[in-house]
Amino acid sequence: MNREMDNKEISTSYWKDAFKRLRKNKLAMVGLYIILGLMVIAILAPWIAPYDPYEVNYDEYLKPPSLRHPLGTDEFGRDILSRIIFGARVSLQVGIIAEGIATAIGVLLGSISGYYGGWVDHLIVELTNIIFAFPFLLFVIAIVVSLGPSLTNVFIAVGITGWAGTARLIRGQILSLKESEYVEAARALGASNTRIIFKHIVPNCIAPIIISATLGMGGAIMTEASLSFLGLGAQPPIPSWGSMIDYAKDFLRTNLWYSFFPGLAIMITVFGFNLLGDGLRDALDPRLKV
Amino acid sequence: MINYIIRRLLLTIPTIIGIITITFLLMYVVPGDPVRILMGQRGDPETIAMIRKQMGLDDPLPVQYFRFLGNILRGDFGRSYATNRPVLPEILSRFPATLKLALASMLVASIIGLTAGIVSATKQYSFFDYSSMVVALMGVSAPVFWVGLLLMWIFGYTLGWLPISGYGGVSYLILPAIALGVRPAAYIARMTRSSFLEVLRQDYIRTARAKGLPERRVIYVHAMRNTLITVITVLGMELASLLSGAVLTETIFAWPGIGRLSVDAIIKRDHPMVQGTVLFTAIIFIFANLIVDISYAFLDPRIRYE
Repeated sequence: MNREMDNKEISTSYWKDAFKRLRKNKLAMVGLYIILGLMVIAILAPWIAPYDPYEVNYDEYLKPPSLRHPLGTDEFGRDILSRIIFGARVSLQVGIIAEGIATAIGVLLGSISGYYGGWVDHLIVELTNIIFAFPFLLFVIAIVVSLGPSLTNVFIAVGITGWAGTARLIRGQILSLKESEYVEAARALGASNTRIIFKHIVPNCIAPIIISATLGMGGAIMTEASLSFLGLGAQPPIPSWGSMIDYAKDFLRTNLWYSFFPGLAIMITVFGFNLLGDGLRDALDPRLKV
Repeated sequence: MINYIIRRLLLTIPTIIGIITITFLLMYVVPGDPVRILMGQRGDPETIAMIRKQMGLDDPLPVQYFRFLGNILRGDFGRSYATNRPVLPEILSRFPATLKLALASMLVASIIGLTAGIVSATKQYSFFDYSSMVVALMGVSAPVFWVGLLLMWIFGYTLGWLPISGYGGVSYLILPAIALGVRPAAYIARMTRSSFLEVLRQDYIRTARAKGLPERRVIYVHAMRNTLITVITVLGMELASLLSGAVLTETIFAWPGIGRLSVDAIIKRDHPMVQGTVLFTAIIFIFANLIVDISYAFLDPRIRYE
């Protein structure tokens, strides 16, 4: 009982310390605020968007930014600001769902690989090597083409290609943790392998998982934008930032703003995830801190 | 050293077979009958059945797989549905354009990345350090197709200094090379900075300073050598990924490389060409990385004995 309390204290103070370190890191906090702001925008989209993002109005064809339309209108007279606001929903969904799938697969395969060793380990390591050997974007494109272009298939494609990095990371962590005394103790007490992995080992890998998932979300959002730009992701009329630029590029010469704002939205979002990911790495892994 | 190279070469074999297998399966599950795509609206059912038989599409999966594997190993990547010409020569004819763009953007990236990285590290926590690392992170976060479009608008449409897109002399190369170089430049800057900082904390640097060497000599001779090992690896890895085709950059700048070829093939549903480009670029990527690893072992003797 006593020991358990001690343990808890140590673990909460680790997270407390980490949070303190994170809060001191100004850039990381900027990243956090960008992501929180984006979430608020995505959730409140129907209330804060000035127009219906799907509403076609040919009288307002390709208007430059003005008081009525702060970021201008597209070739269907739709309000670009409203479409960008609703586009935040698409991007965040991709970040959370696709990266969630990738992280889950990565943690599962990485744990199995590191804990059991033997032929399973060989097989999984070889599989990660194969995935790393593919040029990433082309591989995702090939999968999306096989499954058919749609947002759901982007989730799947990013999920089944994105796990390799997490798996490699977790495998390394587990290889070192499984020899530790507390795991040996759990084993001596007769804990099952599943229990040891998910109750004792994985919780000690939470920090690297959080870091790689945060950076991975930015990556997933970028991948979706790229696929949608090529016409392989979100299908019209869904307001995805990537596909907005795909349509906008035909009007680049005269209407820069149409391409500019959706791209700016992508950059700010991915920037936010990268800032937070970098900051988390410094905060959660004090050994790396210079 | 020879043993190390041979071992590394042997290790690529299962990876390459795995890549061939995945590429095969991907195209096998693609919806739509390839013969229909090939014939368009023209084919009557009998002709289609005949062609299916000729192409071996009715054979069981394992038979088709081993035939595919055998063909690939003989260098036969199949024929394009669009042109009915062999796929591999077409890919090889596009490779020089991809190579040119990759080398040019690598040049841009190394000049910017190395300079920014070294200056940041030697002036750690300065304004320059802070701002260049923020800019580097923004460079990593900006979508390459968007950077490309902005460059086009500024230097092509507005200033009129450079051609918007297409393939020709050096002037056509500049914009795509910059657009494609932004991400690796940012990455190289970050890696150079962190490895430089790590080297600067080593004992031998303290020794060099303690014996009274001028700071410039300590940084540009003593520290630089060990930083370069890391930096060269990063350069090599970035080059490897650039060589495997810049799908997005080549698409927006109408650059006739492998990336553009693969996107065109995807749009035309030319499955053998898609398969061929994916396979080809993956193999290029593996060998480029292999060369990086070997040269790394060559530069840093500690690696060889692991």
